[in-house]
Amino acid sequence: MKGKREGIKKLYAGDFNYMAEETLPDGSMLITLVKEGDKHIYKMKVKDLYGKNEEVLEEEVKEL
Amino acid sequence: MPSGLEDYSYRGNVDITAQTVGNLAVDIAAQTLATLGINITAQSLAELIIKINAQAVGIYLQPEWAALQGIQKTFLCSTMGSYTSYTVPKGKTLYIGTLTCVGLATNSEYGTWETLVEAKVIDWTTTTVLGLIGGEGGGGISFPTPMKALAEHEVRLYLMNNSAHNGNVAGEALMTGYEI
Repeated sequence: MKGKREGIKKLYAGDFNYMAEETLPDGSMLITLVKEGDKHIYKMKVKDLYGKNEEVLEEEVKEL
Repeated sequence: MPSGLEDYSYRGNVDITAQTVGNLAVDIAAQTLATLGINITAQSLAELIIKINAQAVGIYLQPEWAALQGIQKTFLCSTMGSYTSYTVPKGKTLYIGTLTCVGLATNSEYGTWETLVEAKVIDWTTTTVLGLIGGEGGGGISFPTPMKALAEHEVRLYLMNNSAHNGNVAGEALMTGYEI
């Protein structure tokens, strides 16, 4: 398991090829990032994405 | 190859920065050439002649090339009435080439009704609509001229239900492109 902000760093850097986003009932967003050649899938639940109160509520780094 | 050195391989860069370049001839004779990158940034270029004499030369359109380089981007929004958000990193530009959406009424009571869904791409920083697609059950389009989102601009991919009913319409919107 990598650090909790690993996925959000990848999002900000554009370091991915595939991004899926689902809005959850509490208004937070479930984001999945996948990159070619990277043997990990980054899943994170983010509140107020790109906003002033942005917060990574959960993050999971799955090995492929 | 640096003068005076006998070497069977050479790897290096040639950078030319000049107000004017009268004539520049480059001859490469090699059994194999891994990568030849030529970047020209000029206010005007009178003539560019490239002669290639090879058994095989692969020429790709930019989207294909982007996929070969691993810089392609795909964005999926799977929440009806919501969006996927992405801010283009500093120094990069996002080019969006395709936009598709699908939708269906998950309530069987509305199964035969028209289910109109729409996908919309908005540059949220400038609040300009870059692309739209929709129709009964969805739709798809490939843009001859890619939609362009500049660095540090937030791009949102919206998925909306425009049906005259709300029979629990579910769907997905997808956009693809590349970032350089």
